[in-house]
Parts: sequence; structure tokens; C-alpha cells
Amino acid sequence: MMGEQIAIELIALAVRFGGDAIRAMIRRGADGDSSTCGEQVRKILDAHSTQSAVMQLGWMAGHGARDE
Amino acid sequence: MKRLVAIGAVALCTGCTATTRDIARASVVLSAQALAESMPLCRDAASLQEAQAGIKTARTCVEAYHIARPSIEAAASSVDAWDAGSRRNVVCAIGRAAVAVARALDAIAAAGGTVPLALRDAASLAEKIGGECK
Repeated sequence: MMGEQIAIELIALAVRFGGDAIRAMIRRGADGDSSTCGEQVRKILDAHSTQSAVMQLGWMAGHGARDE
Repeated sequence: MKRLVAIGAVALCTGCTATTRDIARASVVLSAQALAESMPLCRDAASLQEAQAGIKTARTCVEAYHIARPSIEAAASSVDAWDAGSRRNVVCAIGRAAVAVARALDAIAAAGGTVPLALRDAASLAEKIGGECK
């Protein structure tokens, strides 16, 4: 990592990605927010849309396991 | 603000560099975002398949989530406790997460779902970062 080329690709992708979390991260950085990386990651992964999808996927996968 | 300045410096000027920790943090957050966005796509793709195929897609995605999430959280912890070994910890954890996320994206595509290009690029870049794990 973390040669210059990868850094440039990473930043370009972060800008293109357009996710709310990336925008929020940039805003928080600009505001001097000191939340930890762990807190940021958990906030992203605990979003309702993600957790709801994981729960439904788990139900579907479990449904298959019961049929076997 | 320091992070924003560092990111802007890399984006705008090849002669400037962000700190390794800044870049590590950005790659960890990007990986988390890629994982988070891939799960609803997995669910939608699996839902549209016939029963057995949908179950297979769901299993692949759930397994990917349960590999990727702890890896990303471990990488985030390394960023927060940044020390001499953190760089290696981050690249290796991001690499494990990237392989899992790529598996989920492949499952979405195999199920006939559309994987946004930015999401595919995020996984690909994370795999590239993980390739530095030695």
C-alpha cells in the first residue's frame, strides 16, 4: 500500500463513489470531528438498509439449510 | 481538517503525499461502504432467483459479510491504534475483506444482478491494497 498511485486511485474512487458515508467522512473531517475509524465503520455497517439485507439473506440461507 | 487537506493534496498534486494513516483510514471506510452497499444488492438479486439458486446466493453473501465485517473492524482498530505494525495489519485485513466482498459481487452478477462499476472498482482497489500483505 500505499504507494502514490494507489493513493491517487483511492481518492479518485472515493470521490466517484458518492456514498453518503464518504461525503459524511469528508464533512466530519472538515468540521474537525474526532470520531474514531472504528466508530465510522460501525456506523456504516450498522445502517438499517445493510442490517435489514443481512438479516433477510440470513433467513434465506437458513431456510435452505432447514430443507437439507 | 488535516485529513481533508491530506486527501486533497494527493488528489490534486502528484508531488504531494497523504500520510499512510490517512490513506489507510480512507481505504477502510471505502471497504466498509462497499460491503454495506453490496448486501442490499445481494438480497435483491437472491430474491429474484428461483428457490435453490436464491439460497445459494444468500449463503455466499452472508458468508462474505461474516468474513468481511470483522476484517474491516480489525483494520479500523489498527487505524485507531496506529503504531509500527498497523500498516501491515490494515493491508492484510483489507485484503481479506476485499476477497470476501468480491465473492459477494460475483454472486450478485451470477444471479443476474447489476453491480455498479464504482462498487466493482472499490473491491478491485481493496484487493490491490491487500496484495501488499506480506
